[in-house]
Amino acid sequence: MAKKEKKSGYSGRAFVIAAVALAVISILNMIMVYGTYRGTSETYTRTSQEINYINKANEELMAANEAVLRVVGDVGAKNETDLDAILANIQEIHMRFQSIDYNLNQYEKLENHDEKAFRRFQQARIYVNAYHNKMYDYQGMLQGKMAPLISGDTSDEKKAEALKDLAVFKQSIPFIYEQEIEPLQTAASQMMNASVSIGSAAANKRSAMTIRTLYLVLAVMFLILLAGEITLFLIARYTRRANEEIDRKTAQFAEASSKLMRSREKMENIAVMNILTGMKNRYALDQDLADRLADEQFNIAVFDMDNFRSINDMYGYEFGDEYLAQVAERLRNEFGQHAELYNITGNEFCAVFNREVSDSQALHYVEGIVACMASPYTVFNLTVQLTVSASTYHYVAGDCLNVNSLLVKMDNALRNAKRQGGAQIHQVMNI
Amino acid sequence: MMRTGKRLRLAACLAACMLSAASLSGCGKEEKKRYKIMVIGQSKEPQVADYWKNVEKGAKDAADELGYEVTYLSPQDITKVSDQEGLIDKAKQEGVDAICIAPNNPTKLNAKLKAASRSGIQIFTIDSDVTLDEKSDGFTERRSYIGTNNEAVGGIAARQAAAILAKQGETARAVIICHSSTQNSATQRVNGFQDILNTQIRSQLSIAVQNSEGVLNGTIPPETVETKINSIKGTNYVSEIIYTDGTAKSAREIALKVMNEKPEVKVIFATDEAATEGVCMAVEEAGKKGSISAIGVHCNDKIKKYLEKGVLTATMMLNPYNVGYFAVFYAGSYLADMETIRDNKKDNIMEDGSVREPSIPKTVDTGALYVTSENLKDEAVQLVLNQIADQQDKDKE
Repeated sequence: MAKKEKKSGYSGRAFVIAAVALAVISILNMIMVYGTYRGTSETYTRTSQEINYINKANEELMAANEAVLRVVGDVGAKNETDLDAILANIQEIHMRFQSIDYNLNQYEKLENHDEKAFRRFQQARIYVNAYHNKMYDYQGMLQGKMAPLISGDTSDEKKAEALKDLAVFKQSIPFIYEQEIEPLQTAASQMMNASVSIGSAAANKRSAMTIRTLYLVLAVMFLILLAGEITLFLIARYTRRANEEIDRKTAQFAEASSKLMRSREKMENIAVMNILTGMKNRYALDQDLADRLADEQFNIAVFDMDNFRSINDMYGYEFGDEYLAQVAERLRNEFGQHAELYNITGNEFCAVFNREVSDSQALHYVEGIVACMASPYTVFNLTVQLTVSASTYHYVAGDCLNVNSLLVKMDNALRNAKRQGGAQIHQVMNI
Repeated sequence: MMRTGKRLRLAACLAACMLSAASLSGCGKEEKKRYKIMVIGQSKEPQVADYWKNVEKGAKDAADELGYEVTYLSPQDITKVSDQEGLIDKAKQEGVDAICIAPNNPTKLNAKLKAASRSGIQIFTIDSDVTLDEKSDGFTERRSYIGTNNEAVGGIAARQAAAILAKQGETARAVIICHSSTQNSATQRVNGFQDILNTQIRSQLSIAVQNSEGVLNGTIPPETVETKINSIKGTNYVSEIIYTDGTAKSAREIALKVMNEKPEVKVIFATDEAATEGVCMAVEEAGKKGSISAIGVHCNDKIKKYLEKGVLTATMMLNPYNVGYFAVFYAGSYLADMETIRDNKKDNIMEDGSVREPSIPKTVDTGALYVTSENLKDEAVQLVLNQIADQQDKDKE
């Protein structure tokens, strides 16, 4: 049993370790998933901010360009130049560029830019600035030519000259826009688009890489888990086999123990029984009566078959033994319920009558036993018959100190019976 | 035991699923498709090598940044159409998605380009364009031209040249020293320069006549004014267009001769890198710095030094890096848009029932900067100059 408990403890510890490992793996998984979620989320947030700022700057650039085109149109197309409209558009261009600068600065302030995207952004910014500067140069030139027309102090002649000067400038404006300004705007705008594409691709790549790594780690963790499950399975199988072995050993032990008990019982029976007749022996008689001698009274009788030696001498011990066995069998059958029967020596029997058997009944049974023993028996197809002597004793409490002295008294009485020719019943006299 | 067995099978299934997911994640989340794009340049000749190296650098930067596969090739001999035809065949064999070519002839490559286009390759032109007019054997399937607007190069130079010439009086003239009589880019620069210069000077001189004191106080009769203005309008202020053999040496000799023989010439416009170097050498040798305004095209270390010394008044700085970069950028955009349309035709049906064409501009002008010693330090100028310098440093390594 102790061994079984030890095994159970061993497998129990294995399950505890497995549970702890499972918990650790689960926590690691949670940490990694959370880390990946945060990393991916930050990447997306930053990328969307980047895209937002650059797209906003690009939209403002488009809007500024539209205002530039309106200036080009106003200056170039109308006969009478609408100076107020030109000035309003110039103001709008100025505001748009302030917004462009703001958004590009915000983009620059973001951290962890993709190197390639940021390099492209820096180039885009140079083109934005070049576009702005070029615009600013021509805007200055335009405003210089418009100044005399706006000023109230200018003479009509000067105004006429200024108008002609502006007219010449008008002719150049569409070319200036197409040849010098638009390419810078295109380069700025497309490089911003390229920067967004590069940044988005890099962010997607980073996220894909993070997720791939997570999947890989999860797969490895699942493999570890799987290995753990297999180990648990093997431990469970080993434990089951060990338990089965213990059960088998326990059953064997129980069987052996039972056999031992039976052997012991048998041995005990053998000690108190006569093997030949199956009746209790002298040793049993001692055990049964020892405690009764001091304070009980009972009827006891001893029977001996006269001249039994002659049977052994004539027919052999085997014959004699069979004869005695048949006698004993018959006695057990006929008187076993009235008395405890003993075979105290080879052909000497003893009967201790039950408490409910009265003295007269006892004497009657003694006679019955004598008659039974003295009746003919067929042994090995040969009928034999011997007379029987007996001694009876109505024992009174305290008559004898021990069983031996009781038997001495009864043997003396028996001897007297035999001495007087046998086939007699002598009573032990109480003194 | 049954429970353990079930758990084991469940764990095995989950692990298998996770492993599959992990391996599939590598395929499913594939980054942007690597389109194969071939860029066919024009020349390896030393006098223009820097220019094309920058085109190549721009193309390869775009490929690296945007995730495309770009091959850059140059023909052995720029004068042979067959060399570029061979490269177009090579592109077909390699199964590229797009070709960005700088054609060395506006019409002679068109048959090959049409064949390539029919086989599914998208054709883009860079630096020089092909003829598009179908009637004159043009190539109508060209998706976009990405390069310098060469008329603008001439035009921008002409606006500045006009301002210079106008100050020199009615007799001052300009001369164009041109690197090629056949190349589209050369012709366009010449035309752009000539047109704008004449327009600008004629307007300025006409207004100057109209605003002259004699006209204002009525001492000059209107008929004379009209005759004078008509004379101005009929004058070509580009006195001559002289073609070099493509080398700096040839340009130098021509410039020396012009300065010697034509005192009215106050502006010389050199149409490419080699011609610019040659003209600068001549101006320096002739000691005409300050009296002759030389305006060139492109910039390298030598030209930059001439600018700093004041020998060269200005140069039109082209942006070959952007030519290469935007060629690949727009080719990739076109291919990506094509895929979008192909994968989602329903959303790309136009009002008239036709399927939308991929949307990119038919012409992308990569621009040219008018660079003088004064704006040499501007960041936009420095950006282009540094790209060239980076390339030169790499070559030295």
